[in-house]
Amino acid sequence: MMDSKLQAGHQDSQSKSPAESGPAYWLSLEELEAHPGMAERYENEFMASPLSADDNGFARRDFLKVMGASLALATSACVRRPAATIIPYAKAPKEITPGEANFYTSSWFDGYEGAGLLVKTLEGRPIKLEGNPQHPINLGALSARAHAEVLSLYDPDRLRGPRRNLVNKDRSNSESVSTKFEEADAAILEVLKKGGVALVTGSKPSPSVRAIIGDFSRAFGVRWVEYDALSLESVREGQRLSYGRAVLPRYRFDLAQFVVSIDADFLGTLISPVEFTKQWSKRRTPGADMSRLVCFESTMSLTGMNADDRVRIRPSRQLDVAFALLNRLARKGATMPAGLAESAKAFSAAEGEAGLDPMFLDRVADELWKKRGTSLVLAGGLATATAQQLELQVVVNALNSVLGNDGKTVDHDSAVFQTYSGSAKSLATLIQDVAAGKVKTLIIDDLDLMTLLPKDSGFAEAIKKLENLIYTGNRNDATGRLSNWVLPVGSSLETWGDLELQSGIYSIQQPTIMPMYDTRSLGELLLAWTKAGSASARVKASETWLDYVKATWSQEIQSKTDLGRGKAFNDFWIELLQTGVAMSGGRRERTSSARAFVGRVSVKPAPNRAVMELVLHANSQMMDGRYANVPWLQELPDPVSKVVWDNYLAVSPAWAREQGVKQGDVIEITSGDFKMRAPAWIQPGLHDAVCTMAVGYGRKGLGKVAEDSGFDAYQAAMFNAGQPIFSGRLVELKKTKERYELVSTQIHHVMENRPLSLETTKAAFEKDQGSGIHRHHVFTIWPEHQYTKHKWAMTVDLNSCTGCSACVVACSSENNVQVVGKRYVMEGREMHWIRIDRYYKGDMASPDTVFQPVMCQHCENAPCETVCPVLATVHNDEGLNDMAYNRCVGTRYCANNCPYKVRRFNWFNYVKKRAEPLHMAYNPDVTVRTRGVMEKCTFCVQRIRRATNVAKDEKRPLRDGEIKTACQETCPADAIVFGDLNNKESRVAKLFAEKRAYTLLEELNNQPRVRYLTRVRHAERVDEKHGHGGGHAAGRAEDRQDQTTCAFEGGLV
Amino acid sequence: MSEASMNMASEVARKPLILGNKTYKDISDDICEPVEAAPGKRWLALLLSAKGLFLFYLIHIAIVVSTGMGLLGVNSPIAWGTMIITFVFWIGIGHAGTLISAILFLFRQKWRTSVARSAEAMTVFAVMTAGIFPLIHTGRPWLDFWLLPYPNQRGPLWVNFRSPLLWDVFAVSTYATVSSVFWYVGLVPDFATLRDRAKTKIRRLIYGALSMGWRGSARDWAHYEMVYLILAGLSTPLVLSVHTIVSFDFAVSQLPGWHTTIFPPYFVAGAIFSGFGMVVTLLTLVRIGFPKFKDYITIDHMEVMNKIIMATGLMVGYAYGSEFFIAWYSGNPYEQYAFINRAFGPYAWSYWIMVTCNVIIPQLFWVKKFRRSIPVMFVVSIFVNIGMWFERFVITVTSLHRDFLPSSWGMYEWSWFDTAILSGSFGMFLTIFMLYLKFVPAISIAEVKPVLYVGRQRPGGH
Amino acid sequence: MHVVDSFVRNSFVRSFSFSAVYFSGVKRAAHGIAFLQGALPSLKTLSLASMLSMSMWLTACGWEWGSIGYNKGYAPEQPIPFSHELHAGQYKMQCLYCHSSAERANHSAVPSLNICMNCHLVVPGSEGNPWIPKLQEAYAKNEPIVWKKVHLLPDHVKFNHKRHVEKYGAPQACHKCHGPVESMETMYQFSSLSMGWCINCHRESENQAPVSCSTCHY
Repeated sequence: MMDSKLQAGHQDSQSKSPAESGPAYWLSLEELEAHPGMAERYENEFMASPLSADDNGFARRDFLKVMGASLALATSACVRRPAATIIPYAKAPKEITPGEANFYTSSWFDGYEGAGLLVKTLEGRPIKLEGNPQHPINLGALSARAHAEVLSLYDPDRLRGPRRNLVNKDRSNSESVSTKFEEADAAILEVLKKGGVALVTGSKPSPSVRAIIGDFSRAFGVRWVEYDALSLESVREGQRLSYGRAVLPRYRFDLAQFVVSIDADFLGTLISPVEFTKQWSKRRTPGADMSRLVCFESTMSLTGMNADDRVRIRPSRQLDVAFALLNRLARKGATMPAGLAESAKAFSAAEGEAGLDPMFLDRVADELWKKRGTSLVLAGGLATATAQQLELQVVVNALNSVLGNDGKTVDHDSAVFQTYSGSAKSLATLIQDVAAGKVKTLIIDDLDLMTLLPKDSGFAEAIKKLENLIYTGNRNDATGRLSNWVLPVGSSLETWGDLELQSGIYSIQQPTIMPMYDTRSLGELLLAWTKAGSASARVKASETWLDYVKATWSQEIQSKTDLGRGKAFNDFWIELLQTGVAMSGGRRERTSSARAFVGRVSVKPAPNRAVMELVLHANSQMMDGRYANVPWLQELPDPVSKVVWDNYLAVSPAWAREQGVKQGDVIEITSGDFKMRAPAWIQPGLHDAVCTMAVGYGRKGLGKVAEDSGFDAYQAAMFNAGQPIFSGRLVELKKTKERYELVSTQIHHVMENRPLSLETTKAAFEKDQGSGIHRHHVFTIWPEHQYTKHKWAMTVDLNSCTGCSACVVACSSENNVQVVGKRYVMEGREMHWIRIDRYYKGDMASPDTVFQPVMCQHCENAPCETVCPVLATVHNDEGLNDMAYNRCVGTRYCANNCPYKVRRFNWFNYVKKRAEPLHMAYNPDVTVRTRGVMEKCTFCVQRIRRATNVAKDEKRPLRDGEIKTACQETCPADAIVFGDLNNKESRVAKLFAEKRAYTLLEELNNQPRVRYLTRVRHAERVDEKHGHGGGHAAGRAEDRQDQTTCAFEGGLV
Repeated sequence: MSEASMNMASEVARKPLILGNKTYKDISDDICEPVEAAPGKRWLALLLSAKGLFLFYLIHIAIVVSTGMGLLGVNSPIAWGTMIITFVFWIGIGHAGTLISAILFLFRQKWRTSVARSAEAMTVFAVMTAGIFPLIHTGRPWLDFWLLPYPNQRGPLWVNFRSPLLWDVFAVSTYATVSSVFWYVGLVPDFATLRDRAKTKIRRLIYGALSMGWRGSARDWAHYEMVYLILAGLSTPLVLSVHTIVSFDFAVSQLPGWHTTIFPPYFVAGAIFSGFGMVVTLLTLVRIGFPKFKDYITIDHMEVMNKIIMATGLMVGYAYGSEFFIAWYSGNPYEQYAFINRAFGPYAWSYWIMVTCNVIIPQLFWVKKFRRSIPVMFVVSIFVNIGMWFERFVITVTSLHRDFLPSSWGMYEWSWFDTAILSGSFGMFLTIFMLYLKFVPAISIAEVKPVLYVGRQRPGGH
Repeated sequence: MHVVDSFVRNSFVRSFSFSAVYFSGVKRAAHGIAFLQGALPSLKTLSLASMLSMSMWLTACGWEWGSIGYNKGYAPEQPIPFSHELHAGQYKMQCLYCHSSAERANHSAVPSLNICMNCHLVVPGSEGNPWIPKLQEAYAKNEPIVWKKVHLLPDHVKFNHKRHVEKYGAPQACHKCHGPVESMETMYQFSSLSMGWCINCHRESENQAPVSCSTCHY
């Protein structure tokens, strides 16, 4: 309005030309002369905006808006996001909803350990493996290696199609050319028809695969040999010598009150560690009948670290321990078996020089005698594969029979193991026949025998005599390169199959993805070949491998299971696919009668030699090295030494000090003509005359990840014509000047007298359940924040946690945690969201060990939240500490201020480094973090979000246990419990209230939402001085407890 | 003795601040000579080498910013390393300049006039060098603008005003603006002098613009002095507050070894200590580079500064002692371990370098001869700054590398980039300082002239 | 003591005129560059212009006019100009008939061709209309139609359609964010979908929706 009046006024003066009237006052000479330009200048002088109000519609007020908008637009260059497309299915499969996961039951078996699976698939591809809760063996839990199957499915280095190696006479060259399966079938069929065929496989506990192998061998007269690299043939053979029937018994840890293990790592690697850990952790709940474990060990194994009492022995003394216990039991009134009496006498005479503490053995024998029928003695695994492995098994069986355990804690017929059915003897005879030229064609299934067999097996020379070597495996590894044909079998997630881990317990294996490459499973291969030969009825009837599996199940398995009895096959099949497992009920609960012990043994105690003994053993993350190319497992900190990406030669601290050997010095191991080099790792708890090394590392040809990780220890074993010796070999160690960088995620192993992973004794616990915990007086002047909806919390029971680290891999699989590689772990940049801290206590020669899984504690007064300058980490209304990745700038002050050091930073853009198909294993529910962003455990917030939404949609309160975090779900020991504190009935609320519960670093008043339950140890030490080799410096556990608490009398700043 | 000189003698005989019987004209000529004369060979050599180091620095920053923070030695548990240490180091150095030009001005310390300009310049350049670090030490430097509380459309989503890093942003930017304005206002009369003496058109144009129309009238001087006084008043609290807030980056946290209340005074004393160290280093070089300046920045000036170095060195020494005492006295095992580990742990070498350089070496200045000898003071001032860099290294790294849980203890993985960033930052500072010496009068003409006759007989007196 | 007082008092008195000095100083500077008078606009106009543009920029970006970085009003040209106005408006088709996954999952999927073909197997569409044959031909060749994505949230945001549809029911929930879809001839983005926009809705008391970070960022 204003300006228009102004203009009007202006026009009047302009109408009279200035010249005639002659202004009374003039500002400048030009105005006086009425210079033509003056009018126009007057015009603009008072007009605030150069755009007049009326003609093109811009009012003065709009001027600011337009100028601002155009200015801003000019500066921000019209930031419209690039056009994105959205492509629906043409014909949508009905079971797939984008973003929603489907779960399929399946089974996993890696040649040694097996489990029932629930495979989480998303849009047609598996992204995570979880345990099948209905499978009786693993009850929903999974070991670290089981999770790795997903990454081995998407492994970029596995073969993508059959290959034909143009091999010359002595198989020395290695050019290989890719071919088609049809071409390979044609050529192989002619060869098969010529006869003289042998098939070597790992142990195959799969009914349908055994059936097809049966048909195949009948069709072509094929000789089938099973062989396991980590063989337990000595246990089966020991059973046959003791009771007449070779069987791999099932140990009932749920019934065992007192367990004596002689180099048997049943919590880490022996037979079925997940099942044993499940049973073991239930019996460890503190109370009167808490079970007890005594270990006599030459290696420092996971089981040894969980023992109440651990005695370090030389492998050659394993038999002495067994006989010592047998003699003591005999003196207590047990009947000494006739076949062992004479050897027992020899051992009792030579007991003095074995270096074992007689008083400790007396107490162990007393305990065993008291717990007759509910105790268990076991020995097995590579560490017991000495020259006298059979004798050891017989004596251990004798102990179990004498103690009445046979049939009770040693189940020998109701549900025995079908795994480890390989036999080295039969492989030895086969190799001789191959060398003698009796075998024309050898088919090897997924067993890299060139690496797995020691040199003295003669395999390398023997295969030169072969006309044809066919290798069915996913890698062109050492054996693959020498074979004429390499036929990739793909992953178990791509093919049908089944599993009978224990007799009578059958589970199905479903494919969860279309085969990614041109691969055929072993079953499909054999089916195709057998169809061309003289096929059995079942082979003729089944068009595809699925038909054959269905036929096997309907003819052989359905009638033996409760699920299948009296039902049409199709109904049974559908229900089987949903539950995943079928068995006849009550099979696993039955105990049976004791068998008659008929074992005979004649052996003399080994002389006392001051020479170093080498013990080879398997570790739980690598086993025989089949998964060496999976980054998760290579970077998983070893449960014992926390070393990543490498194996090592472990030596005792005393020996190292004496030889002046430091961590990482390369040691040359020589024994006769065998020579090998490996870096030294100082491992507390080893006998001074023992050095140990893990097999499964340093395998060639598996792929880029496995390329130079570790040292091949198989060559240090001796095939010994069918009775392989992995332990007890006499070696000389010589320190060389070289060094090798061994990287571990924990470089300090002692708690420095700080109350972190707390422990108490059974006696102290019975008096006061809160013993061992020093409560700190913590107060706050602020009222506690009230959580109306949920109040998430977690407890970790340190008494049941065995430190197996399965949770670390499960967490990485669920939350897209990156693997960074050896160099960056050395620089302290590993990304695991949960780490298992392992501390040694007491005398370093033979320490006690405690574990503590540490993840983000989601503190109430979180020190990280106050210092983040951009509010990237704040507390939410459900008690969680939210980490908003997109808001994080990366100052890293939160990581500095976190006393638990659980925050992980993306130093580089690791996402870009992930090779191509591996990215298919990402979980789309969890943001994949880019470079420069902090990340940490979020209590699996995506699972919380999904479950609470479901509960809200169904208009019902959330049930306790409906949300399971990935670590809780996979934990074989059920040590982790997650839940809502606002729900007073929830397990976690009850555990929070337990007197055994304490918070880590309570004195800092962070009010963490994670509470630990103290570990209770059977510490009625047998006596002051006991067979810990040099006595236990810290004496009884109670004294040790006082020692840790006294440092805390002072107040706190 | 004339009556005037009688009361002169009764006063303490003042030492002349300006030697060599200078007249006002001599002052202008001497100080403007390096600015107006062609650049000397030595100056060019120093400038080119500093600029080379500066380019080297920029290249390495570019590599770190484009590849990732992992190139440096920082890791978990030591998430802060060279960049934060060097940031605190440079911010600390800046404080001496402000102290000289502001606080000593309010205390009417006449001797400050000849060193104030270069000290203040050192402050501005140190803050510029330090200001780079908060931006490039973050994981995603391109999002650093989130550290500023600007209105946005995310709700709006503000910054976390409780975080010491945010206080840093405010403190350092305030410090930069106030000290550069204060320095520039002091320069206006000198630019006017240069403008009037300018021979070439371009020089007159530039210095004319910079002198903002200064005509040296009484009116100008009245306003100038009032502004200078006010700015000195404003800058004084900054000397104490900025480094207090920088010390809050550590003191506000929970870490044993950081979480102590002595940090603010300890850091401020350390800052002034290292600041004077750098001033002494620079001025010894300037006096050698421009011999005429020896009459203005006399040995007495250097001696006074050396005394301040010794005093603040003792304060810092006291702080080390008090930290140990408090750790013992508190009975908190984490604190006790943190300090025992500092002195005897894997990084003990850095701790003892710090103690020797900061506490033991400055004690040389008790001896008057050393206090007044240029080579000795130069060497001592270099050691002072080495000691102060290691002090921040000790605070940051040794407390982080072993804190509460022994399982997460680790070592700092020093890499080539750490060395590059550290040495490169000196390149930046020296380049700017060399340019300053060439284009700006290194001594304040306007302030030196009024004190010409301090401690000297005014010619033609009655 | 009094010396200090006077000094302090003086400096305060003088500081009030501080601003006066500055402005006059600025003016003085203008005169200083006497010889620049003609060539460059005087410093005064330069500084005024810069202050003006700065203030405009600040007011502009403070306003909720959502065009920097957000796609309000974005209406890309689709391979088949599907008209919601026709299908949802006139024929009153249910939203969830085509976008069925909105009530079952986080993502509300664009319907697959077989859903279109439920009707267009028989409905030929108006005379000479080329689009239905294009649809049928794509379905026959089993090739999907490559639609242009209209509503695009950044990757770090996880929006859950199911929760919103479950709480407010199909058309009401859709209208809150997508606007009056049944009146849209060509689909356009009705609201800015900026974080502030979502939070304001979450903050309204009757919605009782959480505003913690992990509601949408995890």
